[in-house]
Amino acid sequence: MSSVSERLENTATGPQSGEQLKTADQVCERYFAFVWRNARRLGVGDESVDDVVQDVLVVVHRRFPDFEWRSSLETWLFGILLRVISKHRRAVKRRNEHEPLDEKLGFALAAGDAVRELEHRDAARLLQRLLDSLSDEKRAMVVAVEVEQMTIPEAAEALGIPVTTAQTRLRTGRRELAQAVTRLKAQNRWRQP
Amino acid sequence: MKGDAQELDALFEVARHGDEPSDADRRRVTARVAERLAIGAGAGAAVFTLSRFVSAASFKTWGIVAVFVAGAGSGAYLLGEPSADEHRALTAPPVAHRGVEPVAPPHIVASSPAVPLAEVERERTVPRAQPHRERPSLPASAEPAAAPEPSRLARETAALRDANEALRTGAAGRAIGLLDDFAKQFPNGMLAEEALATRISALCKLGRVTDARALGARFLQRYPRSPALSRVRGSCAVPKEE
Repeated sequence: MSSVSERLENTATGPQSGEQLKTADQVCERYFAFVWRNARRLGVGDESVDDVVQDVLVVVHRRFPDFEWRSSLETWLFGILLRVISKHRRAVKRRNEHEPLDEKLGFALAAGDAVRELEHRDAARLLQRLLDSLSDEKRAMVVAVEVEQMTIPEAAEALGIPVTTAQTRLRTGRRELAQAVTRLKAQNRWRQP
Repeated sequence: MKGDAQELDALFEVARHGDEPSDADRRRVTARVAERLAIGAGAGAAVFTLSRFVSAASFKTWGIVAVFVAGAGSGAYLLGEPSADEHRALTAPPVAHRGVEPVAPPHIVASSPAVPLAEVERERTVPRAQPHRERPSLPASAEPAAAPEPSRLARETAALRDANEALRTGAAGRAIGLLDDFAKQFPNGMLAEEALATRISALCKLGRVTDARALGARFLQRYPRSPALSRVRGSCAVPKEE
């Protein structure tokens, strides 16, 4: 039986099974980081992230007693998060993908392998910038599968779409992201030594 | 372009741990949620208590009740039926912002002739918003209708999800067993690609690097454009210097 602190540590590296969780409080405690980081990855900025995470946790408190464990908690929470974000979206200003990257990230991108040397937080900023070039639907698929490492069927379930559609979105999302990398690299090539 | 795709995989890997909340974030948001829940509980109790006196209430008292309930709107949001906004958030599909196709609400998976997932997916997805209702009893002579057989893809999805769940909970050995069952049950499965990627992850977790690498090589050869490619590349199956 893992302690609460061990479980909290687990959330930093990725959620584990929630089967032993009995109350909404436990779910919120365990999955706080999951909800937070995916809100950021799905494009919620500093000004709205508190509100979005709060709303998700409130919905969890209302709905968890009816949760039947027919899907994983991650899938369920990701679906709630997507719907809460879509509610907030009108109030959230999208970043302009043509805004220049800051110097540090531009240099790392232009230098190719330097991406591996970035600190986690800087890498996350760079990834968010690239994800901004995708539609919300493709972004959600890429985040769920590539970053959060859900399986495609799980991600399809969270998004409420057929598996085949999910596969297509993921493929096109990845292709568009790779194109965004190429584009940003070209824009920042002048930074190369 | 191929190089950019690899760079992207590296970025996914590094960025994966870059959006964690701080302790202060956690404390701040949790406190606010607790506040909202407390307001909700207070409003619920107040409405309940006041309702006991309804028969004796004067018109003036009704006015007070109305003002109180109106002021406790967020309580109703939490304890009663969802507010209009929350209802939209819970039931509306994620909004398409860039002219991409609309998405069906998560509890009802859109069906297509090629992928008849609807019945099974509806059965096993998110919790139901409505409380369970008693089923009307059948006449003694009536046979219950046979449940429709889940589609093959839905059964594959369920089986693969069990294996992934086992893997996620650290039961990699059990995951391998479930994947063996999966392979027997669906020898030419539509999700064979995903199953192989999961098997590789499970082998890595068990420390069976040689086996994982053999399967990893097969995976890269067979599915060079797989959506699960980055998962395999990020595992022990592909040496990091490659």
